[in-house]
Amino acid sequence: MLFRVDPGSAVPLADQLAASVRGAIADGTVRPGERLPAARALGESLGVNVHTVLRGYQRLREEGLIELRRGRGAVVTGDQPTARARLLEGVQGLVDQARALGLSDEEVLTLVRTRLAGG
Amino acid sequence: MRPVRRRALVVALPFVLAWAVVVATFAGLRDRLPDPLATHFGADGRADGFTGTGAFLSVVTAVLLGSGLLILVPTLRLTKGLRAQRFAVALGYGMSGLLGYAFASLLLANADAARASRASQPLWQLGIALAAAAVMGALGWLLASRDAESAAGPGERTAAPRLPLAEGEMATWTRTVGSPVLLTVGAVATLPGAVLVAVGSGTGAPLIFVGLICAALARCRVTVDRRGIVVASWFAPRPRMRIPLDRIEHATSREAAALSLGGWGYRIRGGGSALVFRSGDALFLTLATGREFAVTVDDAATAAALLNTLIERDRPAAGERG
Repeated sequence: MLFRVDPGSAVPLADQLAASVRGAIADGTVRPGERLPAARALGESLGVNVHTVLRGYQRLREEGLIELRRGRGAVVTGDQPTARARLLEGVQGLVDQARALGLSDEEVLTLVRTRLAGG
Repeated sequence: MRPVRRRALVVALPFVLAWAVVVATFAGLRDRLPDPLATHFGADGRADGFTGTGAFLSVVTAVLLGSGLLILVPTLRLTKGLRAQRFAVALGYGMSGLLGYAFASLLLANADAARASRASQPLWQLGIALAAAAVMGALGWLLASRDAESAAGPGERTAAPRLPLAEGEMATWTRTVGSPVLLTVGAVATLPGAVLVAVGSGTGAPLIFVGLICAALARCRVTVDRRGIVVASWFAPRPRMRIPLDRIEHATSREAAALSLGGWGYRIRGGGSALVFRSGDALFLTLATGREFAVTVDDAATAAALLNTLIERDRPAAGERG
């Protein structure tokens, strides 16, 4: 898979890194059970701090896309990560569009809640 | 001038020049030279070997023009720029510098010696000859380095895939590749080896060694980044293979059968080497030495595109010329 980070972008490096992985899981480049490169090695490779990589991995773990195990590193989880990654990309798209329209966070949440309540 | 002629000129020039210098020195000193000439000197600088002037000129011509021809012929068939062969070119320049200086200084040492046995040449002359060789060698290196373009034309280079990167954007491509064949060979070698060792036979040890190397290579991670390419065992720090970016000319990808690459594992063929895990998608690198390195890995097209982009970013001048 391809990791890319642009220090010139306004998006934090850790989020860019997480987005690379999310995209790779969503398009099937990275399959369930596959192991991501060790944080230290990836940091050296990209020229970014190892903590930045770990923050990115942590983010993916919170999203339920990967598992972080001591000694085993970051592994893509077996529980439908592809569909989950696509959903997360959809959420990101929703947030981006809402921000572009100038909606407040509360307005976005209300929209989503209304939809969820409506079934 | 056509690239082939220009390359031939660059490669052959120092030998012709050295020959011309020696012949000119001979012509200039002709009246003051003894016959035979002193052509070998002992450690104390005194002459202990002699050659007739005719034979001396024949040897000079044969050695200088002959070695020039020897280096020239292979360059006529080069399909790439001389940059890839700059070590050979520098060696040729250094050799012509060394020989040219040695022959000319020999004539100067002989000049005005009434008899050849009176001629002398101190040992420090050898130091100057080596210095002349080093200067000429560096010149050859610089000249050859300027010739980076491919004789196959710009088409090949522009056809190579690229991966657009923003300025300052950093990218790493990484992928693991497994080899059922190597895993099987590793297991088949290690298990009987372990049994042999267990029953007290020493012949098991090499089997275990070979088996463990195969097993370590059975799953590898291929990484392409700003530093170049690394192929490393998935779980062990060794074996691993690293090729720095500045040693790679360009990259392509295509399907390849394991047998067409010479079999499984680390293979060395005529035109280069390959790390073969399985048949299928493979990354092909053309190295600065003109040799090829291949590694079979999925999604090699992305790896090739990233490598070409990073090479271009690293060497903008070379990229523009191509």
